[in-house]
Amino acid sequence: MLLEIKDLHAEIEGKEILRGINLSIGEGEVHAIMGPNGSGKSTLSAVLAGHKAYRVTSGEVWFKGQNLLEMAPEERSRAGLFLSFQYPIEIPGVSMVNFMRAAVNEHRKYKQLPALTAGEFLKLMREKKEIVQLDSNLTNRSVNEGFSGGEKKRNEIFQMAMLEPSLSILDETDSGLDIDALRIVSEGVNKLKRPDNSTIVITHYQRLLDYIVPDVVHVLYKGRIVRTAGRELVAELEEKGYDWIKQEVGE
Amino acid sequence: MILDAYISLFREHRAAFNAGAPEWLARAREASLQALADSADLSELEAYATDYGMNPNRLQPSEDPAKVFSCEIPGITTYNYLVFNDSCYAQPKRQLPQGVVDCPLSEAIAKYPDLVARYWGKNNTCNANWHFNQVFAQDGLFVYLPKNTQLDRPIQLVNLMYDNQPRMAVSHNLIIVEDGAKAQVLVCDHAYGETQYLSNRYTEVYVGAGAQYEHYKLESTNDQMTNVSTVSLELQAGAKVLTNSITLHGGRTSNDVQVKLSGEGAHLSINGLALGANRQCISNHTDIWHKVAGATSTELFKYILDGESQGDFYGLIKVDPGADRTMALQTNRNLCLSADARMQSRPQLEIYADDVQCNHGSATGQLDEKALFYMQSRGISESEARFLLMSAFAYEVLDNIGIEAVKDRLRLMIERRLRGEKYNCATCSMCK
Repeated sequence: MLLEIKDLHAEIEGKEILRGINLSIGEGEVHAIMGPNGSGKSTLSAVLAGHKAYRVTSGEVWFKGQNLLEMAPEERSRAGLFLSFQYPIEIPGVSMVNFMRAAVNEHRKYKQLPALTAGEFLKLMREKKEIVQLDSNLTNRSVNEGFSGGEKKRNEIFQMAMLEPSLSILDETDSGLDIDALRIVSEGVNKLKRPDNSTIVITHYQRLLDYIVPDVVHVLYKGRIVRTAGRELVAELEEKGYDWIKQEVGE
Repeated sequence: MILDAYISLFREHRAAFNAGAPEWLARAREASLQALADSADLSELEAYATDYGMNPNRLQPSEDPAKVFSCEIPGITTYNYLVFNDSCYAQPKRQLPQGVVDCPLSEAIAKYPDLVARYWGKNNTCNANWHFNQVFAQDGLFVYLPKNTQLDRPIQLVNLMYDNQPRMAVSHNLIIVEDGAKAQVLVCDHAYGETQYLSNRYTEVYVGAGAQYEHYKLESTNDQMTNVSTVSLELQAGAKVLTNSITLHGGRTSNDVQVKLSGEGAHLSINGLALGANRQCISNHTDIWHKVAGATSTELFKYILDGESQGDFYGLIKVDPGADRTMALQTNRNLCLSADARMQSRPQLEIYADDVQCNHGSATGQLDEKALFYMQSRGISESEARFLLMSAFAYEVLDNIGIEAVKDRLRLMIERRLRGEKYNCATCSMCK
């Protein structure tokens, strides 16, 4: 298993949000996690990435055989975990180039590879920019500063391309995207797909899943996964909404 | 109190202090001496409450000052001057444009008495630092650029404190940039050894109509240094002035920049960066006086404070009646990295005209946690992420430095300083 989550509970400011998550993801699989607003989808991604505002109260998470919960956020990244942020952060004054070079070289150091030369790095940037058609003048700017919503999301996928993670978590990557940007972003994700890397797509709409087709679909509700099925579940949710799930779990 | 000891020192050595001074200066010294003796505001005199040695008899150092220290910046050549404690040494063999004068102030007083007298103290700040300086300063740098002249390279003035016992040094620089002339002056403050130092450096700058002047002041001294520095500037119509005060390391630093915008269309860009650690105290006081219509000023000061360091920013913008179409923008941003670091920010606007655009913004906070997490989530270690955020914050102050080599050098020094590494100049003979 690439990722194994066992009975994970987590809270923020004393309020329990995740109430016993169990989830296993194998190599090469695409999982969708759907659910109504406030069900804990973004909390799950933040806990996996290591955001310190969230406190894990019980449970285990194993990533490539390592105890993920004991690792610092940067160690999780170097080990191959990537979170595409729902709201990417603007960092005035830190150029995209310096930011990405620091990140890529930390990853290379972890793999015991030498740092890239300036020339090699810029070549790599050029190649990866193509994947999401990211404008060159965006990579000359400060990280996300003044980027439109769509540009920020493309920038997330560009960073994913640069870092080549084994597990990518796309947190509401479709929110705020028009139809063209959605297509470009999802094509980017699909181009980066390899038999050994896996993806978790967090969304509450069907439309992204028309492009990034999941193998397994989970429904998260009130901090638990209440239903797991194949991709046919997406259509069912689209047609009937979430109310029937709520009824089934006895609300 | 100790100030009285300094006053008696002057009285005992009056002849030595006044050696070579014209009568008007001797008289001005007496007036300042009286002002110090009468001064009621003790807070102004705080810096002078410790007993340091002075050098009234102008004893020359046993070493050759030029061999003790050189402060070179890779990539540029400068016209180089050294103020060794309190005495100015010029680099020999210079070919300057017609009419340009650059020499030790003591020499200028003897050779160009009228020129010195015409400008001296015309725009003084009338505070304790001015009076103290006027009484005790015997030397410094004198620069005169006649109309429409310009230098082909920056002037670099190194102020060096060098002694093996507690020492005070007082120096006075007078810089005259006539109409249409252009100059860049880079002042580097350094201190040698472990002993206690106090300096009072006063720089008067007169910038004529349409002239351009850049003044950079970089301090890289040590914890034992108390550095009191004043730059007073007056700008005539259409003059453009840039100042940047960068404090990389010091003990107690007080930078006072006083500017009179006296001509229409004059523009001032006034900037500063302070990096505080340990128990350093850094204060920047700026006083910008819009006296006429249509002058503009932009101001940016930033502090990064760690340890138990303390920062103080006081920024006064005064707009006189009738100084319409004034534009004055002031920004002060500060990062406190530790719980014990303290920042005091006091923006002050006094506006007596109607048609003006003035604003000020001040913010003090910590590094952005969201940005730190974002970077960490990309594999960047927390310490590197903090470094990237701090250097981005600091570099903004360097953006408008007009000498590329100085900007590059400062980036490197700031980077080393923020990483907690040694950041001494590679070519400095003291640091080796």
